Amino acid sequence: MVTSFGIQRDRKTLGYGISEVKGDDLTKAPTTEVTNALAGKVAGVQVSGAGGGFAGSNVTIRGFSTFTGSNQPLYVVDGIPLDNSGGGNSVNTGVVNSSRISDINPQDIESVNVLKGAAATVLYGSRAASGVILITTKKGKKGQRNQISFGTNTAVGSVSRMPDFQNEYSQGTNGQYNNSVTGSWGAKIAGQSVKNWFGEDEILQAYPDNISDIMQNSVNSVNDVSFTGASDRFDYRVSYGYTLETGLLPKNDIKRNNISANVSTQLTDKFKIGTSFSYVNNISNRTQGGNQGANPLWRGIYTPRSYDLTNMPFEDAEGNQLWFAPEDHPYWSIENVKNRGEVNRFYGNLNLKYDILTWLSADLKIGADVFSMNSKGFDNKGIRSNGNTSSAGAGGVVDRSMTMKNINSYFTLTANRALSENWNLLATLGNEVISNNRNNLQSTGLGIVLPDFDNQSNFLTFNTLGEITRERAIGLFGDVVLDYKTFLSLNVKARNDFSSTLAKGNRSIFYPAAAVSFVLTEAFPSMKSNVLSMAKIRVNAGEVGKGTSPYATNTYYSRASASDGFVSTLVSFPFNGLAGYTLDNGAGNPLLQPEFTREYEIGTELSFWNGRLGFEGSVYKRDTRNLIFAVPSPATSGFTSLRTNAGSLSTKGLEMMLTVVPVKSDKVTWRSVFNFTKFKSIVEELAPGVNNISIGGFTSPNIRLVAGEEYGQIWSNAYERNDQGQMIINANGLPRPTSNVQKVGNPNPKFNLGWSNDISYKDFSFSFLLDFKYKGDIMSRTIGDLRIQGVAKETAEFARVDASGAVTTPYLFEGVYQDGTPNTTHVTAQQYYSLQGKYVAWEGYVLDATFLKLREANITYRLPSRLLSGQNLIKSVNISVYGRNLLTYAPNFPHLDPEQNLLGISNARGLEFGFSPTPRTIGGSVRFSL
Amino acid sequence: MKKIFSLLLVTSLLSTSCESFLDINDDPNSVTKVGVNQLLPSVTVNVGYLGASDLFRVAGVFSQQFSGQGPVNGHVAFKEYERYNVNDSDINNQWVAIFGTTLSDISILIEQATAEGSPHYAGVAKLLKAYVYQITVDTWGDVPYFNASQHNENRTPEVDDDEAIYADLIRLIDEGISDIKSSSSTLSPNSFSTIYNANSWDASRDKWEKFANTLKLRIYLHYSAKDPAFTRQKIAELINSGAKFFEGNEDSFQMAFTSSPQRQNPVYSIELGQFRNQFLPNKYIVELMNGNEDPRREKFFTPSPYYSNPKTYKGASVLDGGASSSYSRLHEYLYGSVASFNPGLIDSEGNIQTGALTYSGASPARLLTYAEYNFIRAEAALLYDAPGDADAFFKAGIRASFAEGGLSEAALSSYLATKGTLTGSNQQKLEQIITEKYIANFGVVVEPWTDYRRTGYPSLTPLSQPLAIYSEVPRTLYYSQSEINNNPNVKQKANLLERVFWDTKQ
Repeated sequence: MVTSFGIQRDRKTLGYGISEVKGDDLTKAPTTEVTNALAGKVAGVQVSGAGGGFAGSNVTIRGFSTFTGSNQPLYVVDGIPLDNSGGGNSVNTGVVNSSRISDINPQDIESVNVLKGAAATVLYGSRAASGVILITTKKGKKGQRNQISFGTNTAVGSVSRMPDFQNEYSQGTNGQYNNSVTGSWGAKIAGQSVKNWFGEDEILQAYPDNISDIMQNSVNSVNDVSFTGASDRFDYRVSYGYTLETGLLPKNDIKRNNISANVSTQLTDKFKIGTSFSYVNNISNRTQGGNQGANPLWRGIYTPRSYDLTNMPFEDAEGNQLWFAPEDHPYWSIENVKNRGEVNRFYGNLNLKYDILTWLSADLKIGADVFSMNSKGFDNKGIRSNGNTSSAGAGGVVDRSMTMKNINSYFTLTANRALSENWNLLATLGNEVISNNRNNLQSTGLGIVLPDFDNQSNFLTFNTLGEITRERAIGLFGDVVLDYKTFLSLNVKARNDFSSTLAKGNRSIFYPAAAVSFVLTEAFPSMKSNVLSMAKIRVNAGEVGKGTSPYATNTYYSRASASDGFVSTLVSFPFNGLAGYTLDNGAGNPLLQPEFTREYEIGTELSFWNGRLGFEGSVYKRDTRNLIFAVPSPATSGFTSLRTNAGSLSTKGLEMMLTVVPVKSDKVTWRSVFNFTKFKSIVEELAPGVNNISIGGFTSPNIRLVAGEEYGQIWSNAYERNDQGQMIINANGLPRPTSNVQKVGNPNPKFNLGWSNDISYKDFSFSFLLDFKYKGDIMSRTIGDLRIQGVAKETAEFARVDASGAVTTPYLFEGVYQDGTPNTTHVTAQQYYSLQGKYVAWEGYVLDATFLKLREANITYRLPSRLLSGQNLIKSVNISVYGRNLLTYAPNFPHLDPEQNLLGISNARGLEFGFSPTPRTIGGSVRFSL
Repeated sequence: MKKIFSLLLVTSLLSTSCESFLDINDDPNSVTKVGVNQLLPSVTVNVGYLGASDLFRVAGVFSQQFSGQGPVNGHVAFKEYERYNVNDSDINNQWVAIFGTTLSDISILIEQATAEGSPHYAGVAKLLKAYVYQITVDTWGDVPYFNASQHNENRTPEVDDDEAIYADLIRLIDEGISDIKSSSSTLSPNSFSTIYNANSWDASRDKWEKFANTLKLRIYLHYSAKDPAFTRQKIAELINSGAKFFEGNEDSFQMAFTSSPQRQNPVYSIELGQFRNQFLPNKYIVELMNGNEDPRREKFFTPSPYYSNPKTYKGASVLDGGASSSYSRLHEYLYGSVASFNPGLIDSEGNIQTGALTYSGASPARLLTYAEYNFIRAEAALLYDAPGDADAFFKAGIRASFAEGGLSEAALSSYLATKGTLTGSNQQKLEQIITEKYIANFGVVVEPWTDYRRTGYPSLTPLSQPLAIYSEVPRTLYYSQSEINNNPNVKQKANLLERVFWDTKQ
């Protein structure tokens, strides 16, 4: 089992939990991004998808450990940290992003180890405070002859969940057809003749395929070839991967080329050198996402049921949009609002290992992760919504060029020596040097001159941005393991970081850890029986400290602007030839101290009936103190926040893995694994006088941290209620909103449970993974809109118009009038689902997103060797059929995939604004080994 | 072994030189000091923006110059404003813009300009501060003032009494006038301002001085209901002191936006984003002007139906349920000149569809105009024995408004002939003055709402419950949610019917 810095330790002696996922398990039902492939596979890890096929997932290991900084784990590939920035989405502009972890080719992964607790991660330093995902890439194994392996996985996707629409009522309001309103609350469609928005007469009819017509089948194809081999002194693996992914919406695609090599050689008996590296080229095209009119589905999803979206023209000869609504026409947006990105990335390491003595070795590892990311967002002439540039209708282009250079070096000395017959010592001493540089240049041209021409020269005014960010750290660490016989292991570790982000004098960050492992069945052999094969207890405590983001120790002046939150109204500088500077609203702080997370864990590993039943579980408590965040302050002071150390955050959690092998015979093996994840992170305290802070979303609704409550609650206005909790209903039969905001939902699940099964029978193997999330709210604007606009099927559940042509009033809000008497005033469907009715308060949009998903399934057939006899070219052939996201059961979350997150990879979860369809994919794979 | 030692040596050397290796935390992207000539443009643009964004919309909807419209089923903030549903969270952006940006920068500007020996900058900053606080007090009443904007010196400023703030604003204006008249100043803001930008300081200073005195007139008039004797005394004193006031539209206190993207007047640029078609002329003001056959309508509004002949105008109200395209829309007076017209997007009923008309957006944010000056003088002459002839100032106010709208002399004379003479009792004359001032102040931030609270004119019909939250026009706004959350010294108001100190008319 690999722990920190490639230190190989027997799993049995570990005093903390590490979970391993084999590469094969990640690629059974392949996905292009590794984070998505982890869902349901690791106990203690919550993987929550952001919605949409082009986005990665939030990976939360053992809860939240910081308020406003990143809670995403550190990704380490072959010992070198890999940048995983990106993946966050802005609310009102641009496209849905994936994080840079998406650059890894899952086919290159040999295994993934997840280091969860502080005692496990301490050697990786500050960046590991939220856990570490250690990725080891494939390499040639000793004794393996030269082998060529190639294969393809290709899958076709369709929308996993599409809203159920009504097709009985036309565009209009109050039962009357109207060609220029957005709702479908019009006349019952009965073949009558009406004047459409174009001023033409048409026969009223429903278009049941409205909006689903826009969607296409997605394609997801991963193809790779690799050459592997090893001799006594030399091993190599070289691979090439080509991935093509297209979206459910046209004009969305990703093309990725990966070239990887992993070679090492034993130069002398004592000296080994090795290197592994990858070059990645990733080119993507995306349409707009989020809560904005250029997202083709934001408003498109509730196109009037009687509007012929597919066949009516969306622009005139001059390119002006023809669309009754104030947003962008979905088809126009797909054709005219573009975003293209290209990443060229190199990451890799050089590794020198020298065995000084039989028990002492030195290891030097130098790694680099360097990439450039260029993107162009283009909003063509005639755009109405924010698009890429928020050009306020003027058209715009934004060119961005970012280069990132992260250099890491590690030097470690490792001693491994038997001290006596019973005692063994394994000690590591090392240092790490980190130097990260980011350079971002951006130019936004506004005011397009010639249509369709997306060069900066074709624009009238420019906003530019140049940004250099540098961060450095030095770490010194030590790790001592003392083993007594085979059953007791004591492990003490410590690390001291020096971070450039803190002021001189506060830079040193020291944190220790200790872990004990005790194997009962070895200590007391009499315990061993036919039933109990192994029993182990492990206990540990550890701490991780960290600095802050760069440049937080001072307050600066920046380029001025003026804005009121309505996006298109932004005023930028330079203004009429004048520069403008303003003092930043956020104050920096030279007195910042490190932030610390401390964790206690106790766990056990049990094995019964020779491994037919296995159990592994941990309970833990994690406390973060001295958190660094921007504490809000009243604007009347001149600052709206001050970055400071304050507050505390604590998590209690339980994780369990149960492995069952119900059937094991020569022909049939069935292995079943349950992964259970439960944690609760409580914001114990924020700052003096500060009861809550917003971590994302809008002014209202938003996601908040509230002292004394679970992390990241949904806040907005609510229905007005009396002291008995009954809704207060107006005389007109409709509820009332509160003027204040309050907690209306909790996006944190109560628990997650993954159940994976592998059944092999002769040359067949069958596997499937069920993923269950219990509770966890989502505020779904889209579901609300589908009803508000009268397009959702349930809005036509009762006849909207009776035989006399009068609008019916089948709905009654449960509640009381102001005087306390029960409400008896019935309302129409349109009123019920309106912004004066159910959706008068944001509370009405909150839904329980409990789901059960058949996340993966796979059937593989391995060609029996007898079929391959008589030739010696092909060594093996695997054929498989697989699917992802095959079935979704979400009893309280209709219409959409319940895995949605407006803000993408972010601490703020639970908002869905602007539908991102997710695919259900079914595909096949063929793999040959020569 | 040698190798290890040398490697260890390298490591320890690295650690000792660690400090310099880590000394990279000075932000290369920002600065810690800027010049006063870079601070002032930020302030003046934000003052102009104040006159054309959130507060302008809320106050304008309250005073029924504007109406919130939008999709029948959509959630529209401005519609909510019209039924007096403005919550503390709706105020956050405006509050932060006023205090966190504008007043914060003004405070630094005053301090830095004074320290650097540039009283001309300090004086201009003080006058801008007085203007911003006049608007702020008229909107919220008691707010932090004496201890506000001190940054780390006072992180939770106390709330000050609105009357005490008002009194100090006069002192501040006098100080500002004295500063701008200083004989020497290291730097002068003549061309480094987006308000009263001029080639020479003399030309610029003259305008700032006129503005300062006119602002004092406005402030003194605000006492009219609470303390008419004070109004009477102070206005007479000021006029008799020989103080310079606005002398023409070119003196008006306003901030010119431009036609470049992201430099346009936000009153127009909001029409270019996803909140378009939601902020329309109100039925009240349109019908008022229809009744007067006011020629300014052709500059203020688009005709509805578009091709009506003679032109007719139709205002919106949240009480009526029509689609926003079926009403008159705002026009060149607030949006700047027409940039393009696409007749194909006018439908058969004469409704304007999105994109039919586009504008330059290069209209000014009118903050305190020459027309208003004349109406102040008319009211002061009529009721507070101020020098001058009320009727003459009344006519001058109308004339200034027509000129600002670019109306012809013929249009002006025909209007003056029917509407340009004060008649009847003093109360009736006051109603005439304030009603004309209300039209002339179309799009001026807060002041029409203030006049309504102070005098009861124009004779609006407030919305009423249950559609509206109150059955009268609100008298104030809530403090922002962010302030309440983070400043223990600020207590939220019970409702929007609490009043500013000068608001005593029943």
